Amino acid sequence: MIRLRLPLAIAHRVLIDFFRDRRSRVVLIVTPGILIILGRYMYSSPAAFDRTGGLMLGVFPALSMFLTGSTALVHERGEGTLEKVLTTPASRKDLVAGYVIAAAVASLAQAAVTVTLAYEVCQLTTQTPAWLIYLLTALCGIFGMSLGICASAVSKNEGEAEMFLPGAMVPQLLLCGVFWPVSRMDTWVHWLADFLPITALANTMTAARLHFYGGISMVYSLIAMAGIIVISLTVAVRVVGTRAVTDLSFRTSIPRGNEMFSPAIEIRDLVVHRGGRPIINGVSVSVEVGAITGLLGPSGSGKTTLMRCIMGVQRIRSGEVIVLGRPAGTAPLRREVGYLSQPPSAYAELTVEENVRHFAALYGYGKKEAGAAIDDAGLADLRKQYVRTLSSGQRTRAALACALVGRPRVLILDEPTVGQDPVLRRELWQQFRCLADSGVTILISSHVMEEAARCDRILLIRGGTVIAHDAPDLIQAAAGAEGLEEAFVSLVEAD
Amino acid sequence: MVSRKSLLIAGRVFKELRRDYRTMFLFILSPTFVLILLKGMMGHSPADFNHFGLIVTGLFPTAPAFLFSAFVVTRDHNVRTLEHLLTTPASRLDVILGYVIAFILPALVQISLMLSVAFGFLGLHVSGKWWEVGLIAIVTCILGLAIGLVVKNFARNEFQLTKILAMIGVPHLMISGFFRPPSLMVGWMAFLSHFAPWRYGVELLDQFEHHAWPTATAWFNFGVIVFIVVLLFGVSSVTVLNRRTA
Repeated sequence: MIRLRLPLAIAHRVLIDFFRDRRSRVVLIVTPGILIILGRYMYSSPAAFDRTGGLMLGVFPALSMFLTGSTALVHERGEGTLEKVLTTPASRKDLVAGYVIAAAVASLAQAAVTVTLAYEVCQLTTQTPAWLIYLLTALCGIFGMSLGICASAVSKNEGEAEMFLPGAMVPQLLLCGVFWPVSRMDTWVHWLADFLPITALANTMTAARLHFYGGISMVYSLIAMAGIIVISLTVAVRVVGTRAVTDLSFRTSIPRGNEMFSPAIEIRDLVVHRGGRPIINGVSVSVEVGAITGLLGPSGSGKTTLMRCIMGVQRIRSGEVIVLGRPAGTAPLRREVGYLSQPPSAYAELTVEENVRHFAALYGYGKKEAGAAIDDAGLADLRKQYVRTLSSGQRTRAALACALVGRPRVLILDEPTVGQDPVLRRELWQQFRCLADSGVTILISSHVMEEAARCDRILLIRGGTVIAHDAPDLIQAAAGAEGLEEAFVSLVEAD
Repeated sequence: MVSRKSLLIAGRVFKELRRDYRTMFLFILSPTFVLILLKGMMGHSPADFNHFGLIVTGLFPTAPAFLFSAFVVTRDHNVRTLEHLLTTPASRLDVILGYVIAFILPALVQISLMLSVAFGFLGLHVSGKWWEVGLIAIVTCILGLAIGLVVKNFARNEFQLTKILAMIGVPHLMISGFFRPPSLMVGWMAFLSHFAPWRYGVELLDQFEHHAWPTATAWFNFGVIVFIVVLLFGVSSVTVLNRRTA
């Protein structure tokens, strides 16, 4: 049995996203209503409208959920929020379930308009009562959404999705019978249509229109629809997001973590390739509990990739990453590790408060904790602002609040102080120190040397290998340099 | 008119398009694919295929051009390269022409493929000449480009664009007379159809179903389409291509 708390939290957030934007409200509610009216008045008699109208009621929720669902997911992936949700206790299943619940609710909202218009204004006549048709629309919405989640995995970015979705939808629309009766099509087109998911949906709606309560033919097509939903949801749970560890075997070999961990993070012989090039080249390192470790290195040296490995969102080639005694990215760990990604990710169409409360809900916390996290990130004045209107420094702090709200025991912060003024930077560092004193392990990447001096340890990497890992003053002494900056330059430029 | 700068811009846009081979593939093949499906759907009634096939051949290129240009210009806008471009000596006309030239190249491939399949293999039989239909297809392709540029005004990102497309595209298709001529629609809907750019395209192509050479109606509708294209480019040059933005 799936626990419903996390899916509901996600569905709530998705629905806000769906309906906040004026364009989405129009596309989900107004346009289908207009199309029903237009479809009716293309003909002078209501009888001619029955065939198209009946199909439209089922096709609209399916198509609009396919469209909004897949683009929303691709968008989320681009913004990094999808990956971020997957680093919280919410699993892929919860995410998919959340989207499906949202689809059902949105479809019912849409159908409230379309079904009413179809029966009351356009005089649609069906053998099945309107209330059953109304319920069927929710199923059609779920149908479209589950296919949409699968489709979102195929496109790399929104641009591709934008081209790909019409490419996938137009043939289905042409062949589903809205435009041209299926009975008059060529046999090879029939054959082709049999492989298109929309046929199952069209059959259901046609059966509902022609037979009393749909009859036996509706039972068959409903089974087909349910089958497609189950298959695509199974695929969706596998393909959504990118969290993946190459070697899964050691997950079981490691006993449940005990409470005494030293070190907090343990990396052994880690190798990561991206785009055929080694990014992390045999890193072995351990980070002790309750320390602030500064991750430094020239740009492109693999800092972000290393952090992604620790979060368990980076596909690795070999080696292992153990956090708090468990392999990185495993479910119980996601409650313990907080992540600030680079670029920082937060839902642009939600306010700061809504963002933080959403993540709080995913960790099982409420309004109070969310408020505290917002204050900690120095965003108290901006809590009602939309994230998209924030400056890049403020956006970073919004994402930081989302990372802090889960009260993690390990914090992975990718350049948290970029774009912050000196006053804010000092406040943030005081907080990091406070957290570290209470036993939180913090790994922070930065380019600012005066910040590096505040760390307990410095981990210097270059070209995907560790070149130094020690206390700041020891590194400075070993390099024989005046300041940390000079030590950094001489170490990076050595050999 | 066609300056070196516009050619440079065209070269850049075209290079970006070409790299994205998946999209290119869709752009070039989609009209032909839809035509083949249409033939399958209407194989039993050749008269219907001649009618709808002709309209699809002449008008479908609008759709991919619209999608493409809206996407390219939105991406340009979001990564701020458009803003950067407008701070260089390139004029707004250069930018528009650059886009048009960049899109014409793949569109020529797309349209020639579509024409050869339609008139060669699928046996599309109309009074108009294939090259007349081809010329109209090029113009409607530019129409799609012009709509794509303007639509950017209504969307902040590609995510919203997809919604705008569904919001504008589908009702537009229904009132444009593609499925049923406006003369058969209920009065108010026939009136609305005057505001749908495709209505003029549909009427223009309808003329070629039974006439080999452009009639007065055909010229009128062609004029309206050219007017719409110029108008839309004008609107986008003071909106999307505005140097000073909020």
